[in-house]
Amino acid sequence: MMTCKQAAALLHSGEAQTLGLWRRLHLQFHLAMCGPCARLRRQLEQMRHAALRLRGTFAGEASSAHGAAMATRILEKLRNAPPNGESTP
Amino acid sequence: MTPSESPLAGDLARLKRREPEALTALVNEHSRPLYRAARGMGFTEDEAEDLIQDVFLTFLSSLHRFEGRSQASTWLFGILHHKSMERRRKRIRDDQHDPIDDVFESRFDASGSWSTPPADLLRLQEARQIGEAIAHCLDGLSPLQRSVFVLREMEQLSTAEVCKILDLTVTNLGVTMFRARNRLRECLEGKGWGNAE
Repeated sequence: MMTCKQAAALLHSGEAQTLGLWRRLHLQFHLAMCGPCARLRRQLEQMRHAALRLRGTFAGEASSAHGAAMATRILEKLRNAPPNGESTP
Repeated sequence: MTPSESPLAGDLARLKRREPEALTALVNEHSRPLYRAARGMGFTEDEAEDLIQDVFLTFLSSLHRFEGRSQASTWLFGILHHKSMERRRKRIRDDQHDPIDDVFESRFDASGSWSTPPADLLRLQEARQIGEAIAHCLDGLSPLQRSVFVLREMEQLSTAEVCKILDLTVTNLGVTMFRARNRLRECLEGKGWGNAE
């Protein structure tokens, strides 16, 4: 029987999506039987949705006039950059 | 971001010559996802612009190492991660003990059952409030945890892509994601998010 701690660790790490069939069934059974762990899963889903909304905010900035002007400034900089820069990743 | 074969992979020579059309294609295709990710990593609008400008310059100066073997986006996100780490000037030891692990442990009893269960979610707050809360809580993550969360949850890159970009094993990625989500969730709960009990 999977414990709450094991289920919570799997949900947090994202490994729940890559489990083998047997372990996945164990997790699903646990979530069906355990209210607190089901709540945890809903919390994590809500957190993911909130992160995607935040991404949407940033995407809006990038698509706005500010984003277009930024692309223009970056292009200008790249065109004026010497062929062999010095920086490396 | 939906992974796609970059049209730039077969066009390296034109980029090396700094041909305007090739540069424009490069910036048009990648500046927005990079900007989003930089903002997600906690940089202001001006800082994000400066950072991705630096990313593109570094990409161009290291084209000889790129060779088109991976997608341009993977290479660019990798540079973004390294540059963001440089700018934060923090030593990252995410493979070491993290205090959030103790918080996780404290929520369970010896048998592995919850001693402090997660709060019930009976109430949805306004999107703006949630956005503000999660933006604030993201500041509590280490730079590596933040990169993992942004690339995986916000940019929705695959596990394989994120491992390649951040040079992590799948196991390390899982540990880092575990800590990032745990820390964020604890922070949001601490703000009363979803706590209707």
